[in-house]
Amino acid sequence: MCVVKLTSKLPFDGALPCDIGPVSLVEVGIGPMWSVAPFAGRQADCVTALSKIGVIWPDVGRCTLLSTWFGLDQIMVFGSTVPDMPAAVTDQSDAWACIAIKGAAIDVLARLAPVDLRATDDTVWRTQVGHMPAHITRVSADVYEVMVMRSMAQTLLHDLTRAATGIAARG
Amino acid sequence: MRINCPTCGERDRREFYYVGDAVALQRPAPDAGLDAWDDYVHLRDNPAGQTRDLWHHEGGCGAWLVVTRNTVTHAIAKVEMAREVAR
Amino acid sequence: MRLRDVDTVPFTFDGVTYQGVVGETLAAALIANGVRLVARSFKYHRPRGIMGAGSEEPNALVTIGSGADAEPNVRATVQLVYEGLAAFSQNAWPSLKSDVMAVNDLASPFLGAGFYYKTFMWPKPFWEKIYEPIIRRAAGLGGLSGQPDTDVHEKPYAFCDVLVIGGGPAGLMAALVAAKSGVDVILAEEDTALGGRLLAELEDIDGLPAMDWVAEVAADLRDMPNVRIMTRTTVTGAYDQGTFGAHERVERDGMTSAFWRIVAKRSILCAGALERGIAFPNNDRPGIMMAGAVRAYVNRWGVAPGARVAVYGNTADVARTARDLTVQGIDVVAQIDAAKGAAVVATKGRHALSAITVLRGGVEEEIAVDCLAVTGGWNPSVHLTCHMNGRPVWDDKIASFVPTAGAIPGMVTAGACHGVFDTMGCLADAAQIAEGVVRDLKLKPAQIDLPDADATPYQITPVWSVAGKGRKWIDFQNDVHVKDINLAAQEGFKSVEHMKRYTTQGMAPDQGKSSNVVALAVLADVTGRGIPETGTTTFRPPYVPVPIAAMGAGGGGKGFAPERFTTSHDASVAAAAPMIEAGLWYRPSYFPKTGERTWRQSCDREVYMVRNAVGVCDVSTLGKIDIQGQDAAALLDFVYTNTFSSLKVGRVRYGLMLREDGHVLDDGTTARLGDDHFVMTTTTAAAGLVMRHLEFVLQVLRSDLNARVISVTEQWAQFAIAGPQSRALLNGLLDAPVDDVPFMGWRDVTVGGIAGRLFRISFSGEMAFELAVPSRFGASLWDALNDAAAALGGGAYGMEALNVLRIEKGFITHAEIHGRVTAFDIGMDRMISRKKDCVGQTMAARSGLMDENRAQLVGLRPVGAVKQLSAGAHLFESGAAPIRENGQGYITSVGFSPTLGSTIALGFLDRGRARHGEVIRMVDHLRDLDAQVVVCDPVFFDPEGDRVRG
Repeated sequence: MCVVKLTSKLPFDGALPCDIGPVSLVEVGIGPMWSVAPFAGRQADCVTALSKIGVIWPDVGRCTLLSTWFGLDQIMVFGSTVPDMPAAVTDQSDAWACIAIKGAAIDVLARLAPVDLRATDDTVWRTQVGHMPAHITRVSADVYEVMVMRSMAQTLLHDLTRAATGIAARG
Repeated sequence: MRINCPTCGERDRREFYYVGDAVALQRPAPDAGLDAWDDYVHLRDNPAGQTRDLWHHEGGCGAWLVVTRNTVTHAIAKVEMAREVAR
Repeated sequence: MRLRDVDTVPFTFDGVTYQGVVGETLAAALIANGVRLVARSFKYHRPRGIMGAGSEEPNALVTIGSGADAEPNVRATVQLVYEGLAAFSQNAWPSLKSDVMAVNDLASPFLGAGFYYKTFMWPKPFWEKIYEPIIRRAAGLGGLSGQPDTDVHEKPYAFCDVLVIGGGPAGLMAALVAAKSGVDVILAEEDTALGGRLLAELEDIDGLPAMDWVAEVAADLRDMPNVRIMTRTTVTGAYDQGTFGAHERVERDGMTSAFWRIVAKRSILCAGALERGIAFPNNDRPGIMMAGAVRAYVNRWGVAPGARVAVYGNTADVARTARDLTVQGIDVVAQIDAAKGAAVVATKGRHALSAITVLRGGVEEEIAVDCLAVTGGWNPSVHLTCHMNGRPVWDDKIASFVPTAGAIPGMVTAGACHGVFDTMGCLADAAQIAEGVVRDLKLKPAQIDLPDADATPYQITPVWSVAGKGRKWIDFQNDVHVKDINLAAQEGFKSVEHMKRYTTQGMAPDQGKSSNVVALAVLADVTGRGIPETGTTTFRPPYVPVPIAAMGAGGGGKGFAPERFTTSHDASVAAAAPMIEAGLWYRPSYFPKTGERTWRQSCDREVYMVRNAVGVCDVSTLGKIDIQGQDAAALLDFVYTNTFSSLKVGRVRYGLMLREDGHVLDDGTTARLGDDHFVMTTTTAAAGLVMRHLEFVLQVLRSDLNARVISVTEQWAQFAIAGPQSRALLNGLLDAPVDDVPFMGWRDVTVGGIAGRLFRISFSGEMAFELAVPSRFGASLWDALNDAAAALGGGAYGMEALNVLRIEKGFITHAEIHGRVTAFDIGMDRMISRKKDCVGQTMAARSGLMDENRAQLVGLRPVGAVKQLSAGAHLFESGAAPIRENGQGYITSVGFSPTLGSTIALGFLDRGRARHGEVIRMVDHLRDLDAQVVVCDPVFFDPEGDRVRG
């Protein structure tokens, strides 16, 4: 039996970071990420189970240090393990690609996403970036993170670059 | 056009997938007869005025919504979660 | 002539170099340089000059730049001068001064309203060959280069609580009140600068020049973080639920323009008013301008539109214009008060105005002038309030239309567009309106002290047209004059909408901004109805022309649709595999080897390789949906025609999914991972569709089911390993042997210590597996699989080989389940379980969908001289004429089978299952193919399925 050694590769492998005018794009390594969708009527049990390992259940449209709202009855939890709980849990660590936009982030996203980005820190949106399903997080006034499906990483990079180029062209 | 998703708040129309008449909620029993099924699958009203549509917030939270709106004024009177209406 | 000392830069108009001031409008610069003839009119090619000073300009349309980025039909009144600007006149050949099409003007008695409708009716064959080419050549204004636009365009979104449309005195006051009250404000202004009419008028506010007040308020607004000022931004349309379109022009090298979508909880329309003219004979000569524009050129831009100027009109603006010109030392030779019955009855000057004839108290007098400033009063800019079917109402006091309240939900109007014309009135109106909006948003309005401004009341004696010989132009952009409207009424086109279409009045790019009210006043007069009764035509978006390039910004090239790449993409490209689109995904077509000259050679080799050794293929694009919950099995039973609750953990089952109308939606395999846990596979094409369908079932049809679904397509990189050597390959690669995995079974495995899943399923008819690992290891595993396959005499195979392999086995794809076929048609009606309800079950049982005469899935092989078959070809009885009436079916999939040494096909044929062995005719009219084919079972190879079980 031969010994195979598999090596891992990040979605933006080598393409980031890059700077375009006032905008910096940086890959965010997602690390272990689990989708948690409580079964009918069992959200309270899941909140309790997660709180025991220090994970706070995020409100709709919000994120916390180790969790983020991800859709109807669904959150993502970050960390190497999740406790047993009455929920559908799946490993999503490799399913998404994430870029942090630094500098003029709101202006970049205003060219791609149809949502009102005026919000407090730790607000998240399930929306579209260009034609892609996306998850956006406001980290701070100047830093927003965008997640799209891993296979669309190159398109995200293309769209963000194009938007940033337009901003840079305005001077 | 903007739809006020009960989960996400008011969002642009492009995040939503339009399905059609909310009659889809009233699925007949398997033995309801072909007339009932024909009505359910194929026959739709085309009102000038209030209508109930089914929309999917596909580009957002993923909720299926029942949108009550006016085809003349385009005013949206009500947006409800389909699973709560269906109950 | 310039009235001030300024620094200038060179620009060109029709190749002649002139001097202009950076940031002034091209119109101002042309006036400063004494250029009066700037365009030829659309229909009669009449010489035309600059008439206005804003976006409503009907005459001065020019093309900016040349080549790929040339922008036609730009109004010289909104284009800014920059060094090196190159502008060109339009609609004239060979030159503006000697335009051969001006012959149309001589023929004008024959070219009146309705000319086209009446003239080109017969003889009928003349239309396509003679009339249309001539008309097409003569029609249109500026032209496009036909080359791709390389300029930068954008399509951004903006959000606010209150959108203030227009930055004149009313807009500034409204924005100030709203902003000071704490709401998020966007102030959109079409011009480069805030101020509106105050930019163009000599007025005082609080005893100082009005622009001092504007500067103070503008600075105040700019300092507030809750205010966004967008200049050069024209709000072009009002749409549902507080959405607005707005076009921003950004003049730079490689001009950026942006089409904004602005969303506002409330909007305050402060769009001001547009000046209207008076229809008097030959009122279109270059040098005849709107009085308000003349004041703008003199007061704002410091350029003189003429040296000897007459002013003609029916309001106090006559005296105001004369005063402003006199202040600048310009000779005002006549003030003609239309309110007192005086009129201009004739004009002279071929390429520019040289004289006017004035009729006063029954006496005609010719006066030499080079500029005539005209005003017929002001029309509130009601356009946006009409974008959702609102109709403006007539206001006798100002002899014009004012907006209907509530015409756009959430929108209120203030200032001149609200029918308030004096500056003081505008400020007071706007403050009051804005306070109401703030209260409506549940906030306390800030109290702003109103400054002291001009409060002269507006008085008007309406004057629409005057008697006299010669054409009295109304719509300058579409060359419509008073007689055209009379003719329309005479011929029965008395409704304003009919008159508009018959004469084309208001149908030019300016949408009749300066002509509409005059036109319908003339129509009202000739039909004997009042103006309110006559009504207006419908104003539709956009308010000003928006370049298609801006509306489509970001949608070209890679912006058209996302590109989805698998983890093996780079390796496939490096192996010179041509990548083809499969939905949004890119998949390798085939993997060429040295010496192979055609795709068929590569494909044949890859098929042979899978049938005789082992092939590997990236199948990550197939949809994978994780299904969990106590009712997971019940959900599957409801969406699939067959039963999944009976599936054992560790096993996989093929499933067929129907739409509620009984036609096939999708197919795929589903594995049972645990009692309450499944993973479903969908086709690549239907992955999104099936996900949406499952959500629909769970949320709408069966909210009683306790189950959760989530896509895991992207989490897993999944590869097919197919062929007699597939098990050997895996035994050498995985951390433990897989000999005990049965056909249609699955197992947790590890590869190099990485946890994955192994499914024993086959889409080729060979013993085959699919191995899934987390995507981050996909690229690495693909390399390892290729190495391992090569060692066993195998390698990678692409879509072409995959397609041939599945056709040989009669496996269907969406080429077959294309939306109009039933389970019966593909021979799977026995898969519809009767022991339970499922989506589509009831409707699939309709007799018409189970009729023996329906077209049914068959295999087809050539038996005549023609060996080539084609997908899309139609099937006929042998000897039948290949016409639609005789059609009996069609071919869906075709491939050359190296295994069988023949082209083979799948298709649908009427009563096909009963016709195996019959020779029929295949005809493809598009590819000119006519072949004899024999009908056979769709499974061409290994019908017993021995190979797949190994």
